[in-house]
Amino acid sequence: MAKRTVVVIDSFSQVQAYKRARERDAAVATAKVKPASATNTDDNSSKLRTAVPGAATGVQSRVATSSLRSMPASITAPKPREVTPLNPIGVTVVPKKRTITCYSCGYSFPATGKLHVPYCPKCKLLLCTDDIVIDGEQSSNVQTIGDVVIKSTAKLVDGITINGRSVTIGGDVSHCATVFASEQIVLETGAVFSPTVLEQTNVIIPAGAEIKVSSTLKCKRLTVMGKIEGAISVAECLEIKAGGNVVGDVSAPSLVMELGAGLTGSCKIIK
Amino acid sequence: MEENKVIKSIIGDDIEITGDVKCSSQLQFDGKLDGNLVCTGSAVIGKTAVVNGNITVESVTINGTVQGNITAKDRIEMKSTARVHGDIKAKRLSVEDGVTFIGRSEVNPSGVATDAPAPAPEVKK
Repeated sequence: MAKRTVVVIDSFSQVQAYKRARERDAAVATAKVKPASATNTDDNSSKLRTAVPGAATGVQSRVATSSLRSMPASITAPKPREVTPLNPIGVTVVPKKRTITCYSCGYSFPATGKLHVPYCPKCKLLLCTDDIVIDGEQSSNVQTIGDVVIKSTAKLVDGITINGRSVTIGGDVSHCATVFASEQIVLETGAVFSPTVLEQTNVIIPAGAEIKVSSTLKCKRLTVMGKIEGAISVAECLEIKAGGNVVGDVSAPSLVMELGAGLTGSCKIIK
Repeated sequence: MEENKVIKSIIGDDIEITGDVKCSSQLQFDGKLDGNLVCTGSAVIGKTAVVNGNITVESVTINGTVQGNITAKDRIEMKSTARVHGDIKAKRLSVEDGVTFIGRSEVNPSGVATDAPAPAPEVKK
């Protein structure tokens, strides 16, 4: 340990002068050390310690040695962090355009992105935008411009109306007055419905679903990815995807069928 | 793909045949046929073709008009210009938009997808 020098200070100006002197000495010490850090070998550190002027004084020698000890063996610049953009640069993301149908007056209007004020432009009704899942007893009408899911455990009171954008039927809706979907109706396994309620809608039978209809199923467009048994009458287009299977008589102006799909029954495909 | 195979026999659109046609290789038929067509290879029924009779093939692509039953061991492809009046029976069937088809169909009654993509192999860590 180097011997400390005792400085007696008795005025403010002396304090300022002492501080300035210490800062100057420290600056000189670091200026001498910095070029040595570029070479940064342990052998140089002993030479440097002696080369620093005023090394005999305790403060300066401590500064010099401590700064040398903390020097790393080799200094390398940190690698710049790679930033991957969420979307490709130069591509503007446009929100999906969709059509909203008012369940009160039936007026359809286009909407893009988030619907801040869900008013019908025609009848000025504040529309319900919630997605509704019916899992228990339901005694009131369901009207929304969101999606409606009817589970197999749902108990619907006779004569109620269900109106939504996309309605998934997994339970019994045969006693409902109206089931209307502005976009599509999805029929899951266990769906019980009267086939006439689907006349004005697009119907989808998803993969894995098995549907049996007693009378003729009438709809606008039918897309089959699961299995359906029964007579089908489609107003626009019947589409059977690979893995889908239709057993029953089919009547449609247009049929699109993929390789791997099944169709057994009498067909009348004519425009 | 079977379409890439060399077609050995071509029957042009100005040929009319009355009687049965038998072929053991690839066949393209563009003419008019009053009779049955039996082909052990694949057949292509062209846009101008008119077949009044039954067709029995391995696989067939239909662009023209067929009045009769079609039986294929493998597959039947109906293109948008096809007009088929008769029953069809095949392992696989593909139909394009615009087809006219009146008859009975018996295709893949088991409902098992035959063209399902193979599952991806598991990656061992």
